[in-house]
Amino acid sequence: MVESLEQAPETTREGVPSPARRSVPWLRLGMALASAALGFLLVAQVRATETFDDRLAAEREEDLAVILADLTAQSDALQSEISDLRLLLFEYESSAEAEDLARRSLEQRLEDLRVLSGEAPVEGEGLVLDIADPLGQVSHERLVDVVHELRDSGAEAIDVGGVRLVASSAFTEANERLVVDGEPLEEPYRVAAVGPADAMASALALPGGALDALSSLPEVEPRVEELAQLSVPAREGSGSFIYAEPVPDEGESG
Amino acid sequence: MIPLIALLLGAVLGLVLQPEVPAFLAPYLPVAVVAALDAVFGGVRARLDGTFSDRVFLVSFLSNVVLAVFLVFLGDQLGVGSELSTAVVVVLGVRMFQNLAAVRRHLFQA
Repeated sequence: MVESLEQAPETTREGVPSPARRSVPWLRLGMALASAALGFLLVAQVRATETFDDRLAAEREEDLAVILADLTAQSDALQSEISDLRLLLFEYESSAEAEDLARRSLEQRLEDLRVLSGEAPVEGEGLVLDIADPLGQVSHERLVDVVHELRDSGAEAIDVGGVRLVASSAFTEANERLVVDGEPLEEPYRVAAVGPADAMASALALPGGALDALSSLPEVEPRVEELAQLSVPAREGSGSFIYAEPVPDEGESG
Repeated sequence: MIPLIALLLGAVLGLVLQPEVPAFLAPYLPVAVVAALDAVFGGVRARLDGTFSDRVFLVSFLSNVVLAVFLVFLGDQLGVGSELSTAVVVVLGVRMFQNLAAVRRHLFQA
């Protein structure tokens, strides 16, 4: 038996057609059993791999560990990507917010400067002071006092005889007439100021103040009128600076 | 003819019984199936070569399966089970390819 088993591969390997062997029944039976077993196992294995869960159940432990590690690493990478992107989004949002804030603050500042420089016509609460002076008694110092008093009490935009007062404004006298920034004033002088009307009115009316000083002059009649809505025009023409050059803004003064 | 019928019979039996593969057999069953398939293809080739012998077929069938499973089992004990099962499947796959190529030459003379 053993001998023939040893011999069989020899004959097949050399490709020599084996002599018609007597078919032994138990060998045939064994072959049929082997085939049946193969079919059975094949089906069992195919069924076992049908679903992913079954496949996972069929994996050996170290393979499961590898799969788990892979999935964990993937999940970790995706998680960290999510947090990175969240961080980026947050950064963009906050920087956009900061930019918006800076822009709004710059706009506000520009608005302030436009009012301050007389570039922008303004309107709002304020008062109008009419000074009747038929004899031409009011000196420019009196007007300066009035403007000073108004500014001190919170005036934000002042107009004298149609001329918007700015930082460079000056009162002078020429040919017995009052002049503001080169413009001769018509009598009666009209001073319009946008600002806190009550405070400005009471500041002008202080005992020994601007109004008292005006009233003490012969035939001079100052009259104050508080208005809820008052408009002051923009300054005509823009002054150009010849001598003053802005110093470049450096972080620290050197 | 008989082996073919037996194969189908086994498959039907498997479908009907729906066997649950025990966990401890799970790593070895695929390798065993591949080894058996290799033996079957070798048998088909031998039949076409005219050198088929039930004895050789049966011995190669059993020894293939046992050897493959034993190798994987050994690999499991040594901690290289999955690698060794891959190696077994690759080797058996190459052999199956060669056998099937021989079968193809017989059937199509090409």
